[in-house]
Amino acid sequence: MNINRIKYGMGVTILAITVFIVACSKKSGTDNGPKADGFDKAGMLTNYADNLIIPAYMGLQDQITQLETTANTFLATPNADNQQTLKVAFKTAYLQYEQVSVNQFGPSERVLLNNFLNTFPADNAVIDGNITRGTYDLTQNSTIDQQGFPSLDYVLFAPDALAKFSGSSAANRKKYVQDLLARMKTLTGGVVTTWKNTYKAEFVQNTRSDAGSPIAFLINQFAYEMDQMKGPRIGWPFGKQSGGVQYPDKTEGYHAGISVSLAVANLTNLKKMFTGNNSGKGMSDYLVALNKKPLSDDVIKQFDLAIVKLNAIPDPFSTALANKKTEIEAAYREIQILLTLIKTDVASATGVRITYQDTDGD
Amino acid sequence: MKIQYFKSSVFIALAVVGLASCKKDNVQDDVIPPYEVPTTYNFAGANYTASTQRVKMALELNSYLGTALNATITSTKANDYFNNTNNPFTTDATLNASGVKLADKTADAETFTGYFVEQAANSTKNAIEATNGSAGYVIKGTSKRLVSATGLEYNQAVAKGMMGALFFKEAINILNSVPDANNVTVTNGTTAMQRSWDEAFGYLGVPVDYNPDKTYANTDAVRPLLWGGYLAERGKGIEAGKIIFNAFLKGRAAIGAKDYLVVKEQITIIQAKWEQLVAAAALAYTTIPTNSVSVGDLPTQFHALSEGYGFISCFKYRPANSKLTDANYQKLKATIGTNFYTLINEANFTKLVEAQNILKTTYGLN
Repeated sequence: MNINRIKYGMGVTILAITVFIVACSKKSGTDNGPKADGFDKAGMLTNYADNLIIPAYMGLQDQITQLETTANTFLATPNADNQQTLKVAFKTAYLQYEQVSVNQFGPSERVLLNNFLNTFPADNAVIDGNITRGTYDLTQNSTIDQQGFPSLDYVLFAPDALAKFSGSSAANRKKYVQDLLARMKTLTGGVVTTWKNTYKAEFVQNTRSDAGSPIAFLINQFAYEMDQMKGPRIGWPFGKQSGGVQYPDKTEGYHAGISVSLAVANLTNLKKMFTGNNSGKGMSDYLVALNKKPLSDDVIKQFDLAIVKLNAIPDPFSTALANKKTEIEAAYREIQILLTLIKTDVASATGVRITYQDTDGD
Repeated sequence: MKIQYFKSSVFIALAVVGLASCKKDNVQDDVIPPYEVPTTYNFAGANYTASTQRVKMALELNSYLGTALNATITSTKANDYFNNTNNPFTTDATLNASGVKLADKTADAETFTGYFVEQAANSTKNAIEATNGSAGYVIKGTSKRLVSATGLEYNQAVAKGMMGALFFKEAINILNSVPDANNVTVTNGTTAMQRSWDEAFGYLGVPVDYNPDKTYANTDAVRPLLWGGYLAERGKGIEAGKIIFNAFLKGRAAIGAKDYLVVKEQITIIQAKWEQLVAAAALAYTTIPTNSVSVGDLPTQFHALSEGYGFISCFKYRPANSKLTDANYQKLKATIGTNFYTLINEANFTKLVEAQNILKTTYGLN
């Protein structure tokens, strides 16, 4: 069967369309993830933003401000009593940080908040060098292990801290503490502002599940935070990646002796994030709407189990590494199970691709 | 299963590279009989052996340069791979007597021989930890890379750079020449136009029955190679595999049917999508170093930047109708040519973010 193709002469206007630059920029399909009939995803995201994420950052902002006040008291009179008071305020602030740690996407990702606030272990030698010199640029990305909570932990609570606050570099040391706190306050404040002013709006109305969507961010961050628990917080100091060789001084909050408290706070908050704080508008509820109630229940049970096992490890963790190995092993096992549940099962159920481990083909 | 191809609309929307050719040889007939577009590249007489051989040669060269991490290498040997002298190929020894080489199709060949010298020099430092200003290895956990004094992995500069200077460049240029090629004289079953088309297709590095939705195993003997691999690795979001492969199929069928309007359409499609794929890769590799999970991880950051270095160099060979302005191309080059230690330490990653934005805006990526 022949089909007439009408040929136009040389005067025909030829439409040149750059179809493929424009049209193909859109993602293929709508990619709204698996069907969850009647579940209000926008409502879930609003719950996360209004009742969990923004309050957590605001709380951290408050805590850092309070920590500054307490720190200034100590810096004016660096004695053991003031140091003890400071340690309490430090712990409170650090525990509040564990409420925001999982929210590393959007505004906090842009300013590398977690990197600047909580890269541990700190580089003690370089910090001391900064203090001796008196000059440093904390905005450089290479200085992430010279600032934030871990660096404060070293400068304020290392065994020889009090002596150093009376030594030759005392003035520089005090200034360093103040500079660290000022930077933490600025970075956190910036994240609060961005969330409130601009990011929340785009966050709550994107109900997709593809890479870069809020749901993908949340699931990825839940999994990433579990990886951090399994690795840097518990497993690596315990020797899990080093054939049993332990690293007590590479723990979170080492000098203040609060590593387990921080880990428990982190995991407890992660459970709160998973359930949307039992509001009926959390990821667990989304899973139920996806007909995955058994999975959701399993995850919640596993959270509780892991938290119980973590609580069985006494602080300071650095000491427990030596004489509470059974307890640590038990906690580690439950953490591994929870990690798999979230990174594999929950991710699969919600149609989310785990993207933070970019395994490059080369 | 074959697909019937019908042209049923009166108005034909064309995406053309330039004005319709006025060459007497390739005149579009008033009536083109319907023709089939196969779903695999199983055209009679299709031959792209030399292109495939170059793909394999590039892989062996890249592999050799990669051994510099753990062994001393020489630029002499790298040149052997490049020029196909002294029987260098071992994975596929038939390449040695093929009469084909990389060098004669690689633009800016002296740039690459220069890279060989650098990588050879750096290989003598592979037991020393690198610092800003001196070559060596960077390490994080079990991840280890050999980098130059500025953080660049020269084997990546070669691998990704040659994907541009040879494979992408050749495909673009060959496709540009297709409309004017002889499609009348048949030699050994094919016309010059068909042979050109095949040659360009061969540089894509995909099997005859390429399936864009399939995940090919590393061990699969017919898996996509080089650019073929990147169709999935960085091109999934823009459907690069499906669009480029289908355009090659359609164009080759159209050549057989002397449907030159369609041939030109496919050329534009292939060139635009392939260039967009370059951009998608460049965007990924200028983004990875800025992710919070990468900060403090030099191997990851430098490896990504090195790949970005190679991919951005591909833009030099982009088609004439590219949307990337010269000004923006220079900006991209300048950024990726900056010392990598400087790039990753810059507050807010200003330069890298600017590069990302240029790529996103120009190519409609996100």
